[in-house]
Amino acid sequence: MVFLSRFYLVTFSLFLFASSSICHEKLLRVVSLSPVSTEIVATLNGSILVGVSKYCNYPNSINALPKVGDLTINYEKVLALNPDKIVGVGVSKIAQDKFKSLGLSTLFLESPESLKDILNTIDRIGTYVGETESAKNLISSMNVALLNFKNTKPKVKRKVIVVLQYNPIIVAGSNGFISEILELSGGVYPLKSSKIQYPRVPLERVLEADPEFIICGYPNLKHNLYSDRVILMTQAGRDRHIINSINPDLFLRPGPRIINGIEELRKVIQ
Amino acid sequence: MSRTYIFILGLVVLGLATILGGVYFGAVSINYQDIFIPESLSHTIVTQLRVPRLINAFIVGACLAFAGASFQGVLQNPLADPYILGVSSGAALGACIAILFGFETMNSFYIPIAAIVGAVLTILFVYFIVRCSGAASITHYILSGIIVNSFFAAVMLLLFYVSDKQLSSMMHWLMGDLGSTNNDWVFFSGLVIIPMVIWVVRLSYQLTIISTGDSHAQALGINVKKLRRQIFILASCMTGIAVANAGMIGFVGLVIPHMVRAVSSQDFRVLLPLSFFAGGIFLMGVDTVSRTVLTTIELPIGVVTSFIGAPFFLYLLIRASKQ
Repeated sequence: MVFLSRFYLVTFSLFLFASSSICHEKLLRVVSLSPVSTEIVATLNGSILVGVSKYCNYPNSINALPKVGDLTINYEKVLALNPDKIVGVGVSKIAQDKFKSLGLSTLFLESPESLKDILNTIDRIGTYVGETESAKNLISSMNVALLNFKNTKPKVKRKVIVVLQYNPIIVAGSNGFISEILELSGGVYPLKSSKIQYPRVPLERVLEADPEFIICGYPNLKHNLYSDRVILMTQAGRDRHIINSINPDLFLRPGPRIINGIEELRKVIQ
Repeated sequence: MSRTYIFILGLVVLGLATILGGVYFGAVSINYQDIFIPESLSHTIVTQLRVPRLINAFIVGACLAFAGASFQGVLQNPLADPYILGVSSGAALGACIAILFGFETMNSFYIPIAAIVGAVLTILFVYFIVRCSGAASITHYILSGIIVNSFFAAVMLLLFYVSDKQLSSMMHWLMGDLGSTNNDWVFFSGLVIIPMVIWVVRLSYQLTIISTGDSHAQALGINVKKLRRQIFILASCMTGIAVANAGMIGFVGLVIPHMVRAVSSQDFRVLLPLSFFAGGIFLMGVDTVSRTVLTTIELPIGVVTSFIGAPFFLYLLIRASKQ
């Protein structure tokens, strides 16, 4: 009887030990150095993120995570988080080299320039942080949504510019993912196309292009644009179609939320 | 002479305190017992980040102050420093052009080398302009430097405008950052500056004489043109190394030599070595302050040097004019 009870105790404790080790299976520790990579990792599996940059603000669950830097990265803070993997989009080459010399596992990608690039970025980050399956699911759902947008593209094209800065005016140019987003939302870029991704445009060009909608790259821009006499002469100014109601991160940040961005832009433009 | 000794003693004490503080304080609090345990976090942070950064800060500060003192001597002008002569902008421009042409992805040593080449070419350009004008007066050097400086600033803005993906790397050269420098390059540049310092210090006696005037130096048999060329190239190389290691950091090259001159001697045999060490220790201290004073963010080093440098310089100026 004593032997049996001992046997039971031993097996029970072994079971407890095994189950506890299964429950607490060591999670990957990922530090993300850019808002885009943070959004992608958080969408795939938020629980593996242990540190983010100062500019990361989505989803809300990451707000409590330690911030490891802004334009200059605090390497000490990154090391102290004991990360297994470091991921970043558009991180400077100098910082990339520093991390490599510290012997850390890293994935640094260039900022996506097209919708295809965005999906590719999600795929590569997903594979890197061991979330291949969820990345595939996310990509296929985004592909379905994009195809749907393509098939239901509005017939009437509206002239739309996305203004990122006022005085001087800087807009999102004709090549790049923002113009693709605008096209799917039923907009058309009315300015002369150039290779520069974010061209600086003289006011008279804006007047000549006469956009029907002006989308603000940050909320306070609306006030500046409405107080500009030249802007008020454009159709967007006359019709009070200077829009700041859409969260700019939805269409400026090349991550998973661009689908919501296109939806929101569609609602406004059409 | 006793004031010089007190100053040296102060430097030694301050230097030791800065090294200890710089190793111990930082964004992450470390356990000093763990520093000597390999593989521990404290060990990695100290050996891989803090010590190389302190060495880097010393090299940058020392190079800037040393180059500043040399320029001031050889041009007999208290305003001469790597910034005013356009050498710093030339170095930053060299780095930015190399980044734009994609050298960054080839080898981590190419960009710093481009910065040094940029610095030397700039001073040769300034020298060439002055020689061509035929005037060769000190004012011409300073004026040509100022013009070259503002022209390069414009070229750099143009590069920022046409660059796309390389912008974040280029910004590094304007903001000034001691923490991102490649550790191998830091140690390499530390070795490279030693022969340069020795060379300039060997010329320091002639520098002392030339600082009293060209005609006086010529009367004493000094080849002024040759000396000027040598100092120009060596001081520009050192400025290039400083910019290569940390981007553009202002005030050190101007303030430190004046500070040393105010408390010790006008003799370049004393002034040059003291400026070297004072500049290095100053920047180590400032960097430690800039990364520890606010725990959430790291202040740009250029901001802190200007905040400390400007009032201190004004104080020295007012005191000197009263005397």
